[in-house]
Formats: sequence, structure tokens, C-alpha cells
Amino acid sequence: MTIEQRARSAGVHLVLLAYSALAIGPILLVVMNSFKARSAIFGAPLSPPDASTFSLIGYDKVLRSSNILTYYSNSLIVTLVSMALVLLFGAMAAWALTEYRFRGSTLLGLFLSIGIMVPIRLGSVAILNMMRTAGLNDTLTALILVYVAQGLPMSIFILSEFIQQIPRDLRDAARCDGVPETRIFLEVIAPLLRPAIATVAVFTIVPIWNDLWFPLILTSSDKTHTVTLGVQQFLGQYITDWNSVLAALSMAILPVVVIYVILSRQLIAGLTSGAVK
Amino acid sequence: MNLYKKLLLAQVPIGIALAGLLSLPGLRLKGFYRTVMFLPTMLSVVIVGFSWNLILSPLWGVASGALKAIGLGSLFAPWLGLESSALITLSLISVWQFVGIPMMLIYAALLNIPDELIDAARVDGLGHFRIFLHIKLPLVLPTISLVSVLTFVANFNAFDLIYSVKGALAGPNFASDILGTFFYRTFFGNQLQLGNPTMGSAVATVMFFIILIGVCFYLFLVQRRIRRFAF
Repeated sequence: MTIEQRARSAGVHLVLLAYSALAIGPILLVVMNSFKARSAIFGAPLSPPDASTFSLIGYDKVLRSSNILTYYSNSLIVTLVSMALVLLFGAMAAWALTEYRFRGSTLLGLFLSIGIMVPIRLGSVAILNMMRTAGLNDTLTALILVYVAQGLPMSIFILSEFIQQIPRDLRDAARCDGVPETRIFLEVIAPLLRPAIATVAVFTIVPIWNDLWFPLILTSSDKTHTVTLGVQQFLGQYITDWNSVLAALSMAILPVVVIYVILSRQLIAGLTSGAVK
Repeated sequence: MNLYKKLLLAQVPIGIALAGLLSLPGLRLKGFYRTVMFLPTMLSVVIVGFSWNLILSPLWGVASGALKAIGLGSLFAPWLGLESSALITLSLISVWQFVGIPMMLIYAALLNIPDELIDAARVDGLGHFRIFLHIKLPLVLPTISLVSVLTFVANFNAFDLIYSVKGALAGPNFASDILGTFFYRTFFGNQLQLGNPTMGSAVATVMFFIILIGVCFYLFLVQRRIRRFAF
């Protein structure tokens, strides 16, 4: 390696490191300060907590004065059920649209691809009326229904690309053996779609977990709030209590970060696998 | 009323630059950089907005302290509280959070370029930068245009950020008002304003047409002119 090359590679690393610091700095700052006593939060915001400044008073307050555990379980139920339904219906629709040619299949595909580009929020008025008429106001079912509709177009798009990559011979071989179509889908195609789950997760599950708009307009009682909405309301009430605010923020950040760090390899592989191009 | 946040489009060029650096051959710590840079994208907009709200707040003094440390203390202002800079600051927060998506998609496209093309260019004596500009960039143009449309559409969802940082009134003095917050106020009502479903639907319809124009522009003008390169 020549000196010039070495200098260039150091420059590249410098730029990337600087941007990484910018990306993670604010998150670290919030999490770090949530473990400190009030005086240390203001006195030395940039230093990590040590023995004299360590304090869990913020977490204590959040756990006592808000239903954050209920919010977590709501978010978990909504996200998991929506994810299961999106994957099931998405795979079925993607299979039908890529495998069979039927009247209106192109039109149906086009209709679904518009769903990727036009956000579902624009239909909020109609959704709200529909939920009210169906008596689903302020239930988790309403949220799940909306999120399935929101997630389907993108997941159909991603899963179709995956199905197209599965060699034709596999299905043809199964057909020659006289396997019925439903079993081909369930036993040949569905297991091969497992790698696509990570990609679908990035594009449909993360937005569901993080959504603020639909919980805001569809849920009204404390029992049905999700984490995002619950923390937002908590922050509004306790805005001057910095310990609680930082603790609530950290409690919303940490689970996501932990799951992300565990799954980041699969998530990024899914993202870069070339399904979305 | 502020219709659109142009600054958010800065997201795509920054994403291209980062993806270009990440895809350099023989770069070490690649996985680490990717993971860290994509992290903010995974977090909720509400959490990100509120965290930045605290960081930029003059009360805490983290931002002013950091600027002072590098000798730029006089530049500090309560950006989120000034009419002139509130919207720009919010846009930059959003860019900071979502730059990971264009970065990853373009990075994936860059990795798919076959090595022969790059090698041929290197044999012809091109440097890394000119290879990127003249060979790689034209090849990933379809991805870039798709990413731009996704960014354009996602920006209409900036409601979350503004609602959580500034509230439905999009203060100071409506300086950070966008169609999303306007829709929310019109439909649900706010303080002295009564909610009106009919007018709310009208606002939503206008938003729909604006997005439709953008999407049609992409589908009929951009997509048709781009030839997909088959390797």
C-alpha cells in the first residue's frame, strides 16, 4: 500500500466514523442520561453515569405512573398479529399474481402497486367512519385491520420478486407428480420464502411498531394505546420532569435497539438481497 | 401554508455518498458502519423527534455546549423555536433519521454491479471517484429514481414528527405547518376550531392528488426513459 492509498483509506474511515458518531450520538446521549440523577443530567450531560451520579429514579417514576407494560403488550399483539396476517395473505396473493394468468390479473397487480405509493393515511376519514359503523372503535382489532391493509401491497411486491426467483422446475416437478395446487403452495413454495421474511419485516413491521397516526385516531382509552402513542402522551404530561422523560424515551428505544442488534445481520441481508430494485 | 419540504430531498444525495463510500472495495469495518448508520431508521419518529427536542433545547445546553467546544458557540440559536428555522430543523432531523433507507437500497444496487465493468475501467486508468461518477452512478439510476419517489411519498408522513415535536398547532406561529397537521386540525378540530369531516376529506383529497401527480410523473416520465441494464 502506498502512502497515498493509506491516506485515502484513512480519509474514508474518518468520514464514515464521523457520520456513525452523528447517527448514534443522540441516541447514546439520551440513554446515558436516563441513568443519572437530575443534577448530573444538567451538570455534565456528556459524561457517562458513574457511581455518584447513577440513579434509577426516572425508571421508577415511569413504571409507577404510566401503564407502559400494557402499552408494550398492545404493541406486541398488534405487530405480531399484523405480521402473521400480512405474511400469510401477502404470500398467497403474490403466488396467485405471479403464477396464474387470469382475467384482470394485470389490473389487480397495478392496483396493488399503487398501494405502495399512495399512503393509506389519506383514507383516514373513511377508515374512521368504517370502524365506527362496525363498532370497532378503540379496539386493537381496528388497528390490526388497518395495518394489514397498509402492509399488504409492499409485502406482495417483495414476495412476488422472491417467488419469481424460485426455479420453475420445482413447481413443474410437483405438478407432474400430481400434487394439488394448495399443497404446492404450502409445502414447496412457502418454506422457500423464509428468507423473504426479513425483508418484509423491514418494510412493513417496523412502520407498524413505530406508527403514531392510527393509534392516535383509532384508540382513545389507555387500555388500547401502543408504545409509541403511550410514550408520546406520557412525554406531554411530564415534560418538565427530565428524569422521567429520559427514562421513558430510553424504555421506548432500548427494546428496539436490542432486537435490531440481534437481528441486524438478517435485516440488512434482507434489505440488500435485491428484492427491491 | 408550507406545502412541501424540499430539504428532505437532501436525503438521497447523502445516501448516495454514504453508499458509495461503503461499497469501496476492501473497506474494513463495513458491517459496523452499516449497522450504526441504519439504527436511527428503526426507531419511532416520536422518540427521535422528542430526543432531538431535548438535545436542541437551550435548557439542557447539550447542543450549545458541543458547538462551544469546537469554537462555534455564537452560532447556537433555539432553532426549533424560531419561525425562520423551525421547519428546516425538523427536515434535517427527518433526514438524519431516514438517510439509512436510500443508503441501503443504493448500496445493494452498487454491490450488484459486476466486477468486470469496474475492472475494465480500472485497466483504462480511472480512479475510484471517476469510476463511481461515470460507471457506477449511471448503472444505479433506476434505483435512485425509485428511492426518490419513495422519499417523496414518505415525506407526506412527516406528520408524526411535527405532531410529536410541535403539537397539532405546528408552532411557532404555524411555521412548521404541513398538509398532515393541517388535515388533523381541520378534521378533528383544535382549540377554537371545530372539527369538520367534510373539509378534512377535502384536504385529504388534495393531498392524494399531489401524490398522484408525483407518482404519475415517475411512472410515465422517469420510468419509461430508464433502460434496465441487463448483465
